[in-house]
Amino acid sequence: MNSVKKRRFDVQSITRFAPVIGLVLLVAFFAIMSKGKSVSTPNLKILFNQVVLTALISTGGVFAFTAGAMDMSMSGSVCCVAVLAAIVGNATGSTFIMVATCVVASLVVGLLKAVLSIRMNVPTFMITIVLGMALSSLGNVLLGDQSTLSVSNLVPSGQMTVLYIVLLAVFYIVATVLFNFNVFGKGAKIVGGNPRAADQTGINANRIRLYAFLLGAVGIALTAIVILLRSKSVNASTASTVGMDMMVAIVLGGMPLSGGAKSRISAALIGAAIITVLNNGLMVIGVDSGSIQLVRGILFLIVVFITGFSYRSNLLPR
Amino acid sequence: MKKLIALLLALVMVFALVACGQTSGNENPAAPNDAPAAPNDAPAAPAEDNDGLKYLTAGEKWPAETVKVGVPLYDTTDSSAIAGKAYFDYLEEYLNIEFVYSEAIASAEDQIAFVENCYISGCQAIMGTYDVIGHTMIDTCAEYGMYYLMGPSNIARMEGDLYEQYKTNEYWLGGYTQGDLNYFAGYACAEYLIEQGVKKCCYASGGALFGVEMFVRGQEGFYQAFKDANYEIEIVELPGFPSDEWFAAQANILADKTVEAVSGLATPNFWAQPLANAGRDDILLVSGSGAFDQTNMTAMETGVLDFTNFGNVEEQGMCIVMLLNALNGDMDLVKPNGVVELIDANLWVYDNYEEAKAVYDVTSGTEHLVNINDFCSMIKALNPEASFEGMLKIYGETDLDAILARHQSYLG
Repeated sequence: MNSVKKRRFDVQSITRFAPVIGLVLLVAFFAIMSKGKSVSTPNLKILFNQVVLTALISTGGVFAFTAGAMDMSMSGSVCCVAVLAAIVGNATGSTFIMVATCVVASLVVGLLKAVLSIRMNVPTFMITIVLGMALSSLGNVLLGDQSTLSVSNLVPSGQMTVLYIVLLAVFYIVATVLFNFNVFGKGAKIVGGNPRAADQTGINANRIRLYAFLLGAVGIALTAIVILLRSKSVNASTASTVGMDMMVAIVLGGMPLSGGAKSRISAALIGAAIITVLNNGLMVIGVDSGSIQLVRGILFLIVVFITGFSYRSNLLPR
Repeated sequence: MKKLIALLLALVMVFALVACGQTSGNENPAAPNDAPAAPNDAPAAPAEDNDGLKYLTAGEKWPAETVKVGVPLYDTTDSSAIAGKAYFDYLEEYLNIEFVYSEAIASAEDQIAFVENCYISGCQAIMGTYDVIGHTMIDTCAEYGMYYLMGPSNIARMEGDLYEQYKTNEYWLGGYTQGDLNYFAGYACAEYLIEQGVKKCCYASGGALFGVEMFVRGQEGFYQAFKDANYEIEIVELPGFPSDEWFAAQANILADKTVEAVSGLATPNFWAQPLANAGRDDILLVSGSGAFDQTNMTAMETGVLDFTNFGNVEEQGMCIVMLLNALNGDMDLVKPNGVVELIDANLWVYDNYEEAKAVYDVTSGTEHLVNINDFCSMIKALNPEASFEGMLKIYGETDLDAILARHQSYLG
């Protein structure tokens, strides 16, 4: 009996730390293959610049996913918010107003998602798929005849890596505290794991979901701000991949997309780091673009396969 | 235990795949801090022959140090991208140059990440066959000390204040640009319809509905030609890309016996078969900015495609000529007046299968319109007589006989 328990403990421990182990192995592998180039100072800076977007959106998105609300509208939300902020920024000539627009518009979008998710008796992922398309289209409409809208006159040149570090660090620390050491985070896990049980125990699931979407909105705002700072422009395809990157990051980071008790905030950071290190590393060691997609796909399948060990259920149980 | 073994085997498989995918033969990519190579570090030219012009043969690669160029792609399966790759493969046989292609770039973030990864991979330049961030690409490349070639963006020519702002930028080399090629492509299609006396046509406007610049400009050119000619025509517009709704609308158009022609950018792929299925061989198919590929040739040969025009991807090679001259310190062949020169691509126009086929045979075979000997003649390190004007003359030539005669002159 003891040995059975011990064995399960071993497997669970390994699978629990598998994302971290995977990340370390990836970093080590690419460092060896690239003769240290992948861990050189310039590349570490590049890696951080690249990881920040996925990490920010994932950190915000983890809350809704944990509460069982699969938010598929992240790309559309960021696109719409960034386009609106760029238009307002250009109209006013103020960087501050552009940033403030990002925050306000994101919160409005988050609130809208929460209301729709709570009030409509339809699975959240369906609502957010439609909403995401609507928001992307709105961004396109806002752009009008312009295919690309530049904000280079509103943002300083160069990469602001330090600012990105501060933004991510502050947001991640706040999110970690809320997720792990606050009744809200624990409530989100219970709501995500079993909404009916949560209801029976007196947890206000609607309020939890509202807060989860608002925290997701903070992630959207910060992502939109970083996109504006980094690319100094917006267009209809802005942020078109961040939603998918977020979901892949969450899964690679070791969290089930269905949320619940197994959710962890660290999945956002570790998953984002794994994707970024993988994409960057494969290119640094000279793998061609076609093979990069193949390797990434295989790795994702492996992670899903391994994840299945520990949850004794699938990524999307119900 | 079995699970652990499964995990380890899976990891081994991934690493093995990575190792298999690694390109061989280029063990010495330039270190990031070395890119781009300073002109003084440029490799010496091969020994001159009697005329002072050095020709390269397959296997004899020049320059000595590998030059890596990042190529962002919008759609890796696009026929123009594939044709471009095939031409660059040909150049790689003779030139010590390595092209690093992106995956399909969907957003500005993807593009910036690709540029950053190119930098760390040792690329010395980015060739903007496609970009979504416009002129800020120049800033991004400059930030990482890489040259930026072309546009910026192959869908519009940078003019006015922006051009003034960037024209002396050290890292922007300019060169080939599609300029307003799509506008002229649409215009040429309309001119052909006017010539044929068409009174009602369908215009498949593609991404114009979503503000995609190439389609917007193509559409503008198409309509402008009728205005300029004061020509009365009824146009049924079909926006967007193939979908269930799009095909339903297409079926309605094909059922309309009064429609005499179908036009749009890159139309044959979506119209050739439906036209044949509908038995509408009376409809003229008129395509602008298409790829010069087998699909087009077959469509022309079978009489389905009546008119086509395109920008030849081989003209992108001009950027490589300029880059190699720049890396050798011969900036007078890149910026003769000290500022970036934007050279618009040619629009190759055909309404005759035999003529189109003759050009297609050259571009798809081993000859090429701009072959390696042309390259040698345009690079100063290989040909002391090389000049900027000479390069413009070679790339401006669209007469096949003249091109073949030029190729023959290298051999004589």
